[in-house]
Amino acid sequence: MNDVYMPQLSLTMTEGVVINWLKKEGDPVRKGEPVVEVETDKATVELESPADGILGPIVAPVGAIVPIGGPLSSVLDPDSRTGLKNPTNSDQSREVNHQAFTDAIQRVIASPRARKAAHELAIDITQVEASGPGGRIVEADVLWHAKDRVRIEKPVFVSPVAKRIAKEEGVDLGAIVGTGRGGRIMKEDVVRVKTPLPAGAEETGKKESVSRIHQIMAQRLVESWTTAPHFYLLHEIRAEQLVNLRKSLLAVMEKKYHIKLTYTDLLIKIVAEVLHSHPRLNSSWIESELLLHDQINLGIAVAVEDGLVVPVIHNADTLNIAEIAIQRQALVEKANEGKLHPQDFSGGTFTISNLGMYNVDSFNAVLNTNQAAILAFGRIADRVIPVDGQPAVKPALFATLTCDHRAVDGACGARFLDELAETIENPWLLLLPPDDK
Amino acid sequence: MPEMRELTILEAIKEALDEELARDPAVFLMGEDVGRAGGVFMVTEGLQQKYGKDRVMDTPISEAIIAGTGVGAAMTEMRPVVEIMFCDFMTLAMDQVVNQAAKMHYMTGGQVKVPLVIRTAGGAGRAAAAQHSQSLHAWFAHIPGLKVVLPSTPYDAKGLLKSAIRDDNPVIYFEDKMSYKVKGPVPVGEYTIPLGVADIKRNGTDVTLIATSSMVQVAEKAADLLGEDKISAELIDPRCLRPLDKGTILDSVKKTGRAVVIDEGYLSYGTTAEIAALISDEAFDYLDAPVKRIGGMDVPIPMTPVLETVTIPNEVQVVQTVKGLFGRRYPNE
Amino acid sequence: MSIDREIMMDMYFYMQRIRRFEETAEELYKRGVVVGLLHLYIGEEAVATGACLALQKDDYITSKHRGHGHLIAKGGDLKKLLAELCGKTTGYCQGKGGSMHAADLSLGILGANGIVGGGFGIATGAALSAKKRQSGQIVACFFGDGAANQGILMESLNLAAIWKLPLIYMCENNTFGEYSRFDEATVSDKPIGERAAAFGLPSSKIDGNDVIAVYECVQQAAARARAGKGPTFIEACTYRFRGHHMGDVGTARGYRTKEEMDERWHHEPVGSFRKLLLEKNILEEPDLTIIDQQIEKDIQEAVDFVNSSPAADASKIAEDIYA
Repeated sequence: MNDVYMPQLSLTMTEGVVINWLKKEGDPVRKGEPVVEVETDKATVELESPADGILGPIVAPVGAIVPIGGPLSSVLDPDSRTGLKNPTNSDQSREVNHQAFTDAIQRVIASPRARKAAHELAIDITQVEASGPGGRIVEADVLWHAKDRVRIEKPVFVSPVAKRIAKEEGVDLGAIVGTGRGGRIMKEDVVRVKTPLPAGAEETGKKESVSRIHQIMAQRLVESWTTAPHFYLLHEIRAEQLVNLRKSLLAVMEKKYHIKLTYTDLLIKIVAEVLHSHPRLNSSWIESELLLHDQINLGIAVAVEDGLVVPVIHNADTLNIAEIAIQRQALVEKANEGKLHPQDFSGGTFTISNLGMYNVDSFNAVLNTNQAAILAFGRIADRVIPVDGQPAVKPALFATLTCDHRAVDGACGARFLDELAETIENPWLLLLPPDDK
Repeated sequence: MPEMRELTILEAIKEALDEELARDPAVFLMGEDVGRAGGVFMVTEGLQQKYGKDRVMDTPISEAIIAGTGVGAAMTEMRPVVEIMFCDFMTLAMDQVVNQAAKMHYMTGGQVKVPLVIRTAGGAGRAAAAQHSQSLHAWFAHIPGLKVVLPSTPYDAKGLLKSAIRDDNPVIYFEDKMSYKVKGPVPVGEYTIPLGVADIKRNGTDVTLIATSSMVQVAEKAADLLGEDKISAELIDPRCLRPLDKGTILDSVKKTGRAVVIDEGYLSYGTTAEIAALISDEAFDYLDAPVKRIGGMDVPIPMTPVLETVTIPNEVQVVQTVKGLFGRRYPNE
Repeated sequence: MSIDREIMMDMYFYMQRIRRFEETAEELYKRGVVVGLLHLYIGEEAVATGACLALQKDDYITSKHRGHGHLIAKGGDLKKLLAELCGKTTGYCQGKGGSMHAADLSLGILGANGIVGGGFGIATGAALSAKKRQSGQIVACFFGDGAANQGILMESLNLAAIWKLPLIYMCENNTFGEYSRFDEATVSDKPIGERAAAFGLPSSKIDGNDVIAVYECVQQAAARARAGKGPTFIEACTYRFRGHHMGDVGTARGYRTKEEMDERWHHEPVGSFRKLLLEKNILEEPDLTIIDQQIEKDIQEAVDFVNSSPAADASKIAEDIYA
């Protein structure tokens, strides 16, 4: 018997949700054929059959939340009939019918009382996360959703004092963001929450339900924000050469590779090169230790409809500009369609975020989980810059480097940013081996 | 506030019979060994000595004619309280109960009344095996024209029996042979409990438990255990299956959103099915989970105690069933 | 003949009354006016008449599915009975009981019964009740040869014997139990009454077509019961001239021949008694004619009553489930 189980698809994933069964119990399946779609914390993924055979009883119907390693179904030997439901047993046939029904219609399973509550609270029930048996949405789930709570994925430490106060005052710990070490909820956090809002500060306005991805992203940000001590370095970079470089390459990229070269592509190439000499910027602070990565996997922050995803270009330093551009385009497309695979956003070591296309001059980005640095680019705009002591109008852009102070100190970060600026201003430096710069 | 004393269910039943025998000369008792021997469970002990053989009559072992005589006497100005020793033996009297007693008033266009009470005892737990351990009250609740009563406490037992005896219709009064020693407060003095009114034995907010007869005690234990896990259970004792107090049951489920029905009769085609269907029909939009049923196992009740115990609903089953009704967020989290 | 002329007139009156009613019901059934199941008593009139005339007005009787004869002989109202057969609200049971459950509590008629042997329990209970209340009432339980094979008869005989209940077991052996002959279904080398004898009870086997014989036998049994001496078993042998029920026509079911029916008709009780009355100069033709005409008038009145009665009222369907 071969198990179809919920695999671990990313470092931070602890469980997944069954979205859609592509096959039903009793269907013949081939090894490698997709049988079920599951949603992880980052994307929707198809799981494949581990073997040739017949799909066995489905133990995790649509909507079921399954922990890593948890069973979804199995693939039976085509000759074996064991485990398949006997239709004359009324109990089991009820289950089979349930499965067929949900397969056919893909409706949300929710109790009548939950639907009533969702209706009364004007909540889209398809957005509610189910916690009931068999993946059913129960009333408590709707009420939970209505209070905009994000599910806490890993246990958050709560100080004993905070726990006691919360219990005494009837404060919901799930709603509190801890400001202690590692996101711990401390007494102050509870005290701050239990102070009632002044009259008139009640909630007004329309609640908008968000997707799971959005919720996860929000949680990630909070984690990162509260764990790593952020500091920021700002550098104004002259962009004249960058602009020329892009112009020069546009035509050939279009003609030969059918790709529109962007500034992001060029920046990726340059950053990847420069990172070679600054390994601390390409590291992770994990459990009091500094891990220097041997690969340079650049994440590009991409805004998609329901949040932010950061697909990764692996070994960006080994790729030429065409390869980078092609990969970049493919990743952005997939991100917009929600079709990113786990390998697309795993393994990132450094992240670039470009808000130039939105006319932002500069901004401070939040570190990506477990990364020591993130680089935020603003737009290229004409600025008044001194040239030979005289004001001149030249294209320039602001780069803001955010660093995790545990891994990178000010000087270290500044050195990287300085070399980066120099390389962007003088792109021919890329031709030289690293040591010569 | 009337004076209270503690009685067992057995004492409460005997007191009811004693009081009604004294109050109305038309009332008389009839059954196998109810007179001189005082009843196989000692419920009628002392009554023949007190009221005489004419009022407390020992019969041969002839369930059909015992029930039939009860019907005939009830049709002709008497108010017999007939005993069928074990409810399993009601099978021998079915024609008299179902085709005669239940229907006489209706078939004769209201001319004839049948103020008959049949007392019988159900319940497993004494290693009495399959033909002496059943709980067949659902069969009788199925028949229009009958009333079916199941008390669970001494207070209910006395009040309901007096009402049953004074009722002008055939009433089947189900005792539980395992519950005769259950104790509870009973007021001194005259009182009756109307038939067709349920009793809320315990108030709660998270789940409604509906239990009959000795299953009320099982549900009480379960409610205590659930309370330790901060699940607040409301416990409803219908007391009368026909007529059934639908309003109390539905109001409770509309409040809690969850229901578990517990009855000692066989699970299939019984009391729990009727009440569950009622709830899903008339409280559908208030349900947060499917209505669950717990009944006697669908198996002829085995003799040996180790096996017999498994067939009877217990509080652990109730607790596990209740917990399965919630999502991962318990209501009071 | 030591029987009062008045009583003899009553005997003829009731037998003819039953006969004419049954014939009328038969006709109305064929025309679809009488509905449901109909079990005709034609040929057995002497049993009901002789027995009921020997009882007092407040004595109880229980009857069987073939129960019109007992109800009429006990003094029942033809209008209400016919209306009941036709499902009218003006019937004895508001149209809810029909032929098999017709009852008149004011006359002590504890109902016809649709269950074969369904009267044993009720009769035993009524007898117990009468004894307890010391009312002097007795109970006549009418049943057929078929019901004599129901187990509850044995239970009743035993209980009535040990408690000395004021009961008369009137077994009408009309030769047939549904579509079977009596001797195919019942041990017949001994009278049915031997079953009662096993419980120490007196029994007799009499000619059920002889109304006087029935009358006298029941009189004795009634006296015994009223004296507190307990029950008596009477087997009255007669013949059922129509089928088990209206659907059982002629000899189609194969349990008898036309020749047998024709032969037995020569001894049918109403005609025989009429002849007897004339032969013994107890009554004259004109007397009998007056009685006949009275009966025809009553019958016509019943038919008119049915025609003017409203059909059953559906809004009352759930009434009288409980008292």
